Amino acid sequence: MTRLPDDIQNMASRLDAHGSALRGEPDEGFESRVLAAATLGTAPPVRRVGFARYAMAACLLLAGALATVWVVSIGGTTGTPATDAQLAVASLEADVEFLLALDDSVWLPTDAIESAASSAASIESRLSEPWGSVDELSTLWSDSSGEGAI
Amino acid sequence: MAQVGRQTVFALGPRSAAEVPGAPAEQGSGGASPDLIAAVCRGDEAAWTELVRLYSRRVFALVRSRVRDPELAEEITQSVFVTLAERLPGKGYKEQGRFEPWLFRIAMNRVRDEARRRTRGEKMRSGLRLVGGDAEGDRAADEPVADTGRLKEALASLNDADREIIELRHHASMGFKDIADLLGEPVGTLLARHHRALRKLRAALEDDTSAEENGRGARGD
Repeated sequence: MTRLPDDIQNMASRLDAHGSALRGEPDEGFESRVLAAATLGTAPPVRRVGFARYAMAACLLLAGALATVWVVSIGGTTGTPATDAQLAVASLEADVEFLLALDDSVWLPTDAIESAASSAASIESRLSEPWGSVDELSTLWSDSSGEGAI
Repeated sequence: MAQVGRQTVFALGPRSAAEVPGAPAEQGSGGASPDLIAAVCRGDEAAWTELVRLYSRRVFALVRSRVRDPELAEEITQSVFVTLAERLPGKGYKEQGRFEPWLFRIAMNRVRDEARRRTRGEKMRSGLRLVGGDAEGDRAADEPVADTGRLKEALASLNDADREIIELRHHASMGFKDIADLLGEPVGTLLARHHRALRKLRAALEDDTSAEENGRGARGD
């Protein structure tokens, strides 16, 4: 045991008080956070956090660079543009499917649906032949379906 | 620490809860018993929780006395306990009554590693401090600003070895035997160094106070 004079004892008490304040500084959840980190083994070693930040930034830059290369060299998304005729047929088919879905409706006669379906089939069969514009297709459609078909 | 008349007696052994100001009120003792350590080594979760409760704030205080940023201090504290969790249960740790020195050595090494790493970068330099650097930033919530600032400046004036003893004893609340074990010095030498460090600290504080008074006198306050 060591006896300390008063002035030194005062100094020690002052340091103890400072230490006490430091130990009391963390909030109530401090122990829980330490426990969780230790249990999961996921304490955020600062080294790893720092490295992770750099790694993330590097990944973002790399992704940006790759995207730029993709757009410049390949030209973005490479879908084959649909022709006018294909779009018109798709539209007609959609009409027929819509009518078929309404097959049971009281107000829509079955013969109208059949008529529309046969018109679409007729037009589709003619698509293999060389033909012109959407206007021509529209004419064809109105000719085939006739007045009041729908 | 017990008081006898106007003299103070420092016990050499581990400090009890009563001697560890700032420790949680329900804390039963200043350190872990060998049984508790043995239970942790067996993988007892309740024992592990108790160990964290006993030591986490003490480790934090030691780290915080060297680290300005409280969040960084908490991160370092967590990493110390992750290391503990990796090495204690079933990993061949043998309790020989040296748990505390071992634990605080890990903490000190972690702080040194961090200091070394941070001094390499400019940003890091702002996160760590030498004691006495930023009184406002370092101040614990319930300490008077001026008092803490002077104390930190005085601590900063000590050499690293003296400061280490002060921090281990008064911030981490270690017993002298454990500090001696940690630092690899005889207890007698350590006691003498502690006493000398306290004297230096007191002298530094007095110098600081008289310089302040002289300054006031010169300004005519």
